[in-house]
Amino acid sequence: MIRRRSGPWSIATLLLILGLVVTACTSAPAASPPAADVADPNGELITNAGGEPDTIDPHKASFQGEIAVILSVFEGLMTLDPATLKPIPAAAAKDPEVSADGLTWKVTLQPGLKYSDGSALTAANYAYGFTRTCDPATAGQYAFVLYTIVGCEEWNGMDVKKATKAELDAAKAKLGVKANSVTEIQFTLKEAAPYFKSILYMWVGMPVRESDVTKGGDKWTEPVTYIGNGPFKMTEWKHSEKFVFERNDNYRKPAKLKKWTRVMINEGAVAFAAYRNNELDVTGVGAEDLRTVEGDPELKAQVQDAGALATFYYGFNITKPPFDDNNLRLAFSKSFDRAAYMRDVQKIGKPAEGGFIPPGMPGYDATDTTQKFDVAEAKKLFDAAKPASKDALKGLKFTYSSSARTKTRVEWVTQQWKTNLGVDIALDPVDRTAYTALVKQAATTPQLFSLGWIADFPDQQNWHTTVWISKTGVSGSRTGYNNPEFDKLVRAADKEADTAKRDAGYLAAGKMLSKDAPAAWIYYDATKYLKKPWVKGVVNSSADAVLGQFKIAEIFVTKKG
Amino acid sequence: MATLAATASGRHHADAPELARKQRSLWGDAVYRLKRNRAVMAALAVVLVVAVLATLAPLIAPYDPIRQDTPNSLMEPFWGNPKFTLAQYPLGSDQLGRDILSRLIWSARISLLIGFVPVTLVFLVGATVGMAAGFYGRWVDNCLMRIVDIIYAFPDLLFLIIIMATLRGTFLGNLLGGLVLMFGAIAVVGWVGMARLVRGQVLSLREKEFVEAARATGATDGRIMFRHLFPNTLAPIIVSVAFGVPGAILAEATLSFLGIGIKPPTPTWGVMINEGFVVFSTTPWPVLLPAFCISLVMLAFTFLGDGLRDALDPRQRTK
Amino acid sequence: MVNYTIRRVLLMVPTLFFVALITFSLAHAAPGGPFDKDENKKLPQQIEDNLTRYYGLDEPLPQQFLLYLGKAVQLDFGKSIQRNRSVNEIIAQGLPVTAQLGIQALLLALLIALPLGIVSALKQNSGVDYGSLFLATIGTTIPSFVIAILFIYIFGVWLRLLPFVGWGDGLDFRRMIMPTVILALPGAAFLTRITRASMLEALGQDYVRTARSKGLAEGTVIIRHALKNALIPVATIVGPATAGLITGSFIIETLFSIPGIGRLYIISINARDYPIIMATTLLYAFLIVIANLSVDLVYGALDPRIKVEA
Repeated sequence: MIRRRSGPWSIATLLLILGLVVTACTSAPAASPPAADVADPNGELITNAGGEPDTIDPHKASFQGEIAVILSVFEGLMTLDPATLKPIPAAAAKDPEVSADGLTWKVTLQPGLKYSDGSALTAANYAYGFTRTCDPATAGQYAFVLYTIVGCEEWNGMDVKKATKAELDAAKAKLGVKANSVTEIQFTLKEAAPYFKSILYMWVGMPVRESDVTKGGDKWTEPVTYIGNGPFKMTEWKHSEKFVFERNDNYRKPAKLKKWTRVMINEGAVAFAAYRNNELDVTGVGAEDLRTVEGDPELKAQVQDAGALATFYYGFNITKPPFDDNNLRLAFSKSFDRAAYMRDVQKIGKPAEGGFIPPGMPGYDATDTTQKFDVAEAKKLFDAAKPASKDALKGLKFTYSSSARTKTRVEWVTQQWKTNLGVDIALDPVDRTAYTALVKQAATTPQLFSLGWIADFPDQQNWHTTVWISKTGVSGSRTGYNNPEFDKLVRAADKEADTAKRDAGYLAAGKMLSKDAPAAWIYYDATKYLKKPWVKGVVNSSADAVLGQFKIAEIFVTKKG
Repeated sequence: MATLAATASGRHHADAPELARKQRSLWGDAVYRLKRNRAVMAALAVVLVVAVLATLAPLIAPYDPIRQDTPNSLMEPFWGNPKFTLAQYPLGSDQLGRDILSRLIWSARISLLIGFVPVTLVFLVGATVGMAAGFYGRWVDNCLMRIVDIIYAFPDLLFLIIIMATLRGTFLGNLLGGLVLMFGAIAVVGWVGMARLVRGQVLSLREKEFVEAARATGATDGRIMFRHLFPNTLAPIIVSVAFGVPGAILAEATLSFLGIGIKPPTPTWGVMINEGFVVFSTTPWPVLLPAFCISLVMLAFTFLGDGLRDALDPRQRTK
Repeated sequence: MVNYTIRRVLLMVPTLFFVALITFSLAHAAPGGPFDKDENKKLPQQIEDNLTRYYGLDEPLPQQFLLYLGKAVQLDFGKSIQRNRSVNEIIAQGLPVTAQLGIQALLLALLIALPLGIVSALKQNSGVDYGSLFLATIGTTIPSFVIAILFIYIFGVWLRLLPFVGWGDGLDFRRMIMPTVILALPGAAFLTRITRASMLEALGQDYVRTARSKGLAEGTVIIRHALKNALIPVATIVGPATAGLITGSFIIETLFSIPGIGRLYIISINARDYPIIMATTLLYAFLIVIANLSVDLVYGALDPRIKVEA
């Protein structure tokens, strides 16, 4: 059997393969300059989606790659203005009507909205979307952003295995989401929450059709039933390989791109190589690539800068020594040179020279300079720390999620603390998943660690309250931060209808936070990417999960040649 | 290449009644053949040089392998840098500004450790188990071989990946920066091959006259195993061990490349490739240099293994 | 022979059971769980509870294991925690790709190795012989991820000859060339060495000399007498080589963004996606056990001198 293959046949096959190689060589694609600045009506854009997203179900999604798909296919009631990040109407005809007590919100839809299959879109579809997110059976990771709606937290907190159907139905009936008519949807909130307007842009409220979910079951996110109302429709999802999106002609204002393919390349280095090989039209730039990019005039001209709503910080566990001492925390916060860090290590982003909220976000406070780099001041604070706290610095470890990159960063800062404060800190690298499990609560949180916060929606509430409120805040609970005055300030601001007063409240809270220093702000993140010259019409924003997210329909490509 | 004489001497050794004399001639023959094999000598030279570099790494390496100099990251090696002076990094620097030459030298330590420690474990465990299974037979053999079957059912790399990826975050994974876990993982995966090999050998020798003879003189089981059976299985064991070394080095490099090997900052060639890969499409040297080192060392150990096999088992020498 | 086969097949059951047990224990021994994906995002406790219940991770571990086994026997491998899709479906999509890649590579390896091994045995110490030795040495000593990186660099980035992202529909030859060739290389190298060696041994055997002395044509001697016997060891190596190909594809798939189960496997382990880890490991183990068994049987069938132990 094997013998037969080894005769002249095998030589023929070898020749065949050789032939393939030769054909391959001759049909190589050539990079050519783009034609005039005119949209190609059949234009196709190819970008990298990163890896296969875990889910593209709007009511379960939580990662950027997932949201990128959702926001291409669905459109929320509101969207954001790419420049100011203020919520503006999208599918809604106008801003929501809010009752005087701030508890009842009514949103009217634009007339004649349609799904990509041409069927009508009603307020009930939106109501279903919000309801499904609150449903504990959905097990959505972002349900918590809707806890401000009456009944959502209670229903979502029920144990679906133990509760009876009647109990669950009763909880569902109490939910403050309903469609008043074909075009009006009404929300009832627990308390006044001006930031709810921003939440209305989020993926958790996307108008998925109940019939699609029922029909598709677990597989409803496949193209057949993944029907949306956004600028694009998903026509193909080749798992772990690529997505194909095509223009949705039933969208209010059809997109300029005909087709948008997003391949899934996990390795950043491969993506960068693929960009240079013209297999990608857009790719992210890492700090490691910057040198090359800047040394190459062609690439350098293709660099795009976009913000990112993210702040990275060193966290202190303030429930135990040594960092139960505020002076020590401040001393640490003020004794590393953020500007040098950005220049030498991080390279992309800005040093955190204001408070916790990054620039570009409502609530950024350039005057919050409590944690400013100042070695002399840091030393004074260090000397003022309790002797017991200083004793507890012996054997101090810095725990971090290990990778080649984080390692450098942590090494850099421990060196600074050594030089400026004379403190020896051991490095304690931990695998990412293990690290995530470790920093969940103050009981297991390491003494000194590193984290970041990436905004869910651009409002101060999502920064100060969500992250730092005592006990339940994302990092409040981990660092053990507990300042009743801070809590009072942010809770008051959360409910404040008057924008000026509200902003002032958050600013005061932010300053207090920087002084209490449960964390030392390091830098505000940013995004750099490369874009081929034939890709046009991209409007960047710092809240983008996907290229040109808030003006996604405006992107076009000129003829590639 | 298989001469008739070599073949004859090979046959002779299996049938020879007098153990001691045959032993001497086999080893003597082997050394003679090894010395005449130029590839083996060249490979030996490479291994020796690497071993010396590894041992003297603290003295030879111009820089601390983990010292970072971020303003001078990704410097070209001297041949790509016309303005090169000795004060700079001879083979360039990686993206964190670490000296590539120093990292290559220090990596040799890890690679040699990885090459030899797990193989020793494999030898100890595998040979003992194989010997016991082959000698005692029956239920001992059955039990041991079922365990072997289970581990055999895992593809090697997959088993290594599971062990490394899952246990890395545990206490075990933190010992010596992951080195201990790596030794253990390679040994756990590797001993079954050795056990099968030794068992097979023992099975074929167990009924031979010299064993019968030893038994008749009242030798204990232990004595028979270690004085009579073991020396006769040594040749294939040595060959297997010789091939185990490059295998282990490759395993470490592969796992480190996947990011689940030795923990940073310890430099190893695999780790260097993993880290350099981030910039490879624009600055290939941080990948190419460690890749070259791995390939060279792999080549050397493969030649040594080939040479040893040719020398110890002349019937197979043409492979 | 029949008894032996039945016994071996039955022995697969405990083997696979322990493979499952070991994998399950290791996967759960790893610190952190499937919902600890992002250290920057902390799930509120009740949401994590919802997720835990949704995926049945709230049961005690032994019970989870037994439940898993119960379903696995019926070939239902559960639902991926990471992907929220049926594991069967995910594997059904990835396996054909991995299998195609593996089979192509195996065929290519044989196509290179057999002619090369035979010719270099026939023309010892010729240019072909040294060339094949060189290939065999390169193939076994340069790690395939290094070759892959080099190929991407040379053919993709530098010469811009070949694409290196994705797999396409499995008919796109230009996309498949690099991964297939790289995956085939180590196997080709190994098989070339084996073929050459066993061919040489066969040529030196008495029956070949007898055939020659009978005055048979050299071609007939080589093909009918030497080659037939020389291929026995080669045939027995193909099984393990296949296993090697499957695992070799872990890295190739990751580097070339190929949607097979190798790439999936590495992602799943890091994501603590227990159902996928279990299913893929069991699948691999099953393939290996089958490969080992068939090698033993084929060996017995091909070489009458080997008695299969009863």
